Amino acid sequence: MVEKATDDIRSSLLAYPLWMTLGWQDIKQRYRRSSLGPLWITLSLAITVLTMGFLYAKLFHQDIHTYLPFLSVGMVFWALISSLITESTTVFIGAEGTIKQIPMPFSIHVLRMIWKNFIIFLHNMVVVVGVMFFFGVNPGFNLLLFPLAVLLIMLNGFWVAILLGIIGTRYRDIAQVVSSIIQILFFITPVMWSPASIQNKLWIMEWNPLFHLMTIARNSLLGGSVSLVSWGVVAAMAALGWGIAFRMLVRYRSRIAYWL
Amino acid sequence: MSAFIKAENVIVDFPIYSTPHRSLKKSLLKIATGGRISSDAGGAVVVRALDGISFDLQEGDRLGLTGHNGSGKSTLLRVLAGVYEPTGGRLSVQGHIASLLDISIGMDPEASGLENIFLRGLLLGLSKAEIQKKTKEIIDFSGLGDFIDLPIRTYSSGMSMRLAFSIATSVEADILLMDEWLSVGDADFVKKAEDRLKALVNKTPILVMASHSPEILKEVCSRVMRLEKGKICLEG
Repeated sequence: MVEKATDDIRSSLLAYPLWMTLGWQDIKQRYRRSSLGPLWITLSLAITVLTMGFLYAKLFHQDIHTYLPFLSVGMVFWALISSLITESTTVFIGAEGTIKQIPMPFSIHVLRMIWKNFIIFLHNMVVVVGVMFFFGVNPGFNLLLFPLAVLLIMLNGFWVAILLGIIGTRYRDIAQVVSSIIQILFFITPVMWSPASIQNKLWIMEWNPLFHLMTIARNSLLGGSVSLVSWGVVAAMAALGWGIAFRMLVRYRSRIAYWL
Repeated sequence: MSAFIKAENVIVDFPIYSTPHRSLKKSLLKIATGGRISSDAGGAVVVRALDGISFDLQEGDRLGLTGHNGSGKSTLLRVLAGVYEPTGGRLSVQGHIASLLDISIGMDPEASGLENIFLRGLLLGLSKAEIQKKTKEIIDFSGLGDFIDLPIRTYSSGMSMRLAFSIATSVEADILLMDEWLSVGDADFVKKAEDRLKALVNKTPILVMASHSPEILKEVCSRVMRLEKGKICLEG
């Protein structure tokens, strides 16, 4: 059983032409027959960030020069993290047709979803880069941490998708539960507000895993001192999460097709 | 290594989760109430789709499956394809499997015929290079001509079936799985398709096909197995 689960992940990774094509196909399908195509991803984020940026800079009495870069990084990573989590719950349900007809490793469906969100993320990053240039944000050597931050987020997304994907296939309410939780998390995670602006630190901030994901993302792009605690928490989360998700895969991999 | 299929006492049980069973609430209540509430809703229903299936297939074998609807033919094909792992018994399969169970799965109506060849090819486990090598032949056989560059939503149903058929039958495999003898297109194409499928079947070492037609089974298969309620009830 352990061998089959390991093989599932290994052969999925090796089948990268398949999940890359399928992931890209998912995006193309959404924007087919629109003249701007996937550029809409970039454009709609740019509009959101700009309007929200100016509005909230006023509301929170923040300097637009620091707030807009802060917000754009926050929004882009929030979009990535939240879609990775919410789409996890339906990652196998959405592939029901394929799973029931063509036998392939289950992790392929997970990688397809991750790849799709990675492409969306790259489109969104255009806005971040634009904002950073415009306001002259220089992350310095912290920028070297950027690929690592993205990789760590993806690694966490991978195990979350296996775990929630399996549970979500068996219990169909999970998708609803998770999407409600994500809505709440949006407000308690520093996406729009800066933790530095909070005088009384709340315990909920430090115990919210997404807080640390946001911190490593901003560390790598906006410069400033690197929070070793957050990097440590995110790495530990990946290790621990993989431990749990892998066990789930070993135990329930062969049941997924039956639950669909 | 030569291809083979060895099934020993294969059992497949499908759990049927009615909506109340699928919800987390029920499971949580079950924990909280020690199963009292869930027993009101009835225990989990299990359907035994395959019940102790055993057979051996070597190269050259052409196995035909027959039986009423719901007798387990399609389930057995899917088990052989590797979609469902048997819940009991043992199944060993050696060789590359090509499944012609649903030949249009994974096709994207908004994508062009050419893109769909690529997409389907990848799903069938071909590499980019292999697909490129086959593309011309697939287009020629499908007879779609310049339509191949148009989205397949613009095709008639016959045209998209012709494309799906041409792609599916371009595979090379050791084991071929088929649910009913494929027949697509208009009168001219049916004949062409028939020849192509026969050629594919002839060069594939092992064939397993489900069919309701005694004539086709007689013509194509060397062995026929009749299933009833998930059991083998007649072999010959």
